[in-house]
Amino acid sequence: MSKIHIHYMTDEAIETLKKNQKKVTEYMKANQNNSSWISNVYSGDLYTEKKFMIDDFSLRLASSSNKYTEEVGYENAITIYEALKDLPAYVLTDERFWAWINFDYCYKAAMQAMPITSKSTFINHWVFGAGQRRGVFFGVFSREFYRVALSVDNQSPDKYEYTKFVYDNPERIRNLTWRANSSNRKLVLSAIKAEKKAFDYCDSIPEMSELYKKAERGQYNLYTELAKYISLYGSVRLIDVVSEEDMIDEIYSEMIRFINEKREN
Amino acid sequence: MQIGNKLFPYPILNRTKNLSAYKTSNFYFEYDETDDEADFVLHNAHYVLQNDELRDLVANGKAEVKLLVECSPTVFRENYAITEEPSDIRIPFGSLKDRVVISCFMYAKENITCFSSSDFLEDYSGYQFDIDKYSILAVDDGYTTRIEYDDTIDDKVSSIFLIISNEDTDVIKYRNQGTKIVIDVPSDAFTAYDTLKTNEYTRNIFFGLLAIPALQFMLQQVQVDMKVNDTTLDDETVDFVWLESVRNAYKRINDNDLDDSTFLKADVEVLAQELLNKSSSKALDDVFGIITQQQMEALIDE
Repeated sequence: MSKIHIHYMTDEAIETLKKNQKKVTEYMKANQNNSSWISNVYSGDLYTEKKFMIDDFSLRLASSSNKYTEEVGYENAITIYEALKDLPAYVLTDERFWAWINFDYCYKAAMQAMPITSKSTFINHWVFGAGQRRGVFFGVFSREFYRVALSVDNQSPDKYEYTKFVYDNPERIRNLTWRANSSNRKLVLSAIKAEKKAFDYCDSIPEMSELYKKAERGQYNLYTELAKYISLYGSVRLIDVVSEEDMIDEIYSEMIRFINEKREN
Repeated sequence: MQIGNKLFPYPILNRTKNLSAYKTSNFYFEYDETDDEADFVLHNAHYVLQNDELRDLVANGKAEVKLLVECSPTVFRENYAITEEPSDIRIPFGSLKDRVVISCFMYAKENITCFSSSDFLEDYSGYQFDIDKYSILAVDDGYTTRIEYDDTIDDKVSSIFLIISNEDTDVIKYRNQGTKIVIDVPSDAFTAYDTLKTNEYTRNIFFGLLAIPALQFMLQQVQVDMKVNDTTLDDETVDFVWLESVRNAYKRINDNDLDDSTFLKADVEVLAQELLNKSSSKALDDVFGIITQQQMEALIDE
């Protein structure tokens, strides 16, 4: 496979796009396949080449007969992760790098993965408009990268077992990534393992399976409450040192308690 | 992770005295910050613990101390065991960027029953506490440092100013963006700037019109922050990263470091002009030159 240099979108270009949201949104809606419109908004240098190299990769696209399904999203997420995983974290969390991926290298796939459906789509998902940390977990492809990076289990024969599980319902990881403790990969992966353990247990018992589905619904669902519970559990504990086994037991018990509560509601 | 003012349902020993539930005991960690080609190094990292009961817990394997290094911008959070013996902790540079918080915690490795200390504050004196496994016993919220990458290694040298076309404003605005001072310019005015920015005769004019007021505004903000929050220039550089370039420029011009007291006393409008080559007054000369030249050409044409 051939190698290519990564690029960053220039500071000037990215700030100009952010400050001309209305114009940018109109151009994006009108140009699904090609991002050459950017030079109409910013006429200077758009990208700078960086020293790091990655394998040249391409993403699956929807066609007239196939939609951009969750399955395509999952496959693309794995492709992105495998291609970029060796880059240093300071690059992988840089808005300028993802702006190059989104607006240049993978524009067509990014438009399919995150179509412009509202005024805020561009600022929230195409650049880090809501801040650095939120940007990483909101960005079109940066969030796909981190969903895989936080769920991949290199010790397992099927290392993407938990990745597949979270892609079946992204709520299973989304709520975990909002909080500061999500920087702790061990904690996030333990939580996902506990979720899957509870899911598998409930799936084997028809009554529990129904309750599990019920618990997944609503504003205060299993996953929003679980994220809160982990914060509560860590309030006086040094959560970083909790063993994986203890963490899984703790979260699993809490999930079963929450699911059983649905019996009464 | 930093505990801040958070209250605990049992007494903890905190480096910050007014948050500690102990009378005279101390807990803190120390290190020398160094770095080499590849790693950010916490050199000679070790903790100091002055409390007999807590020391016994460590000696008996019931508690231990961890250093927590957290860098939210790069989604990095790792813990490292430290002892009273100095040791080096190495973190690859690639894992860190911007704000890095280094804190230290002593925690219970197992459930501890009937814990008490003769040095508890009066409110807790004589009481015994059951401490759950993993619970924090002592805390030092530690330090915030900042890791910057020199993009110039594989990029051109860039200015501390970003001049941006902004469709949402009809006046010029300034804002701090960490490494840069952003100057938002109305779209139409930006077109004029963009057309003329490479012209050698307009350099001082643009510096005088845009960069100097922006720098003055930002320096004033830093001065106010320092006075209100009793912070130092080093503290402020964490949020106003471009200050590092300002300090370097000051040293180049004056052959002296820009120290806290000099900066606090400085007239920021003068400082901004001096740092940017007195472009405001030079701009007047340039404008005069341009207009005179135009008039001369008009006379010749006639």
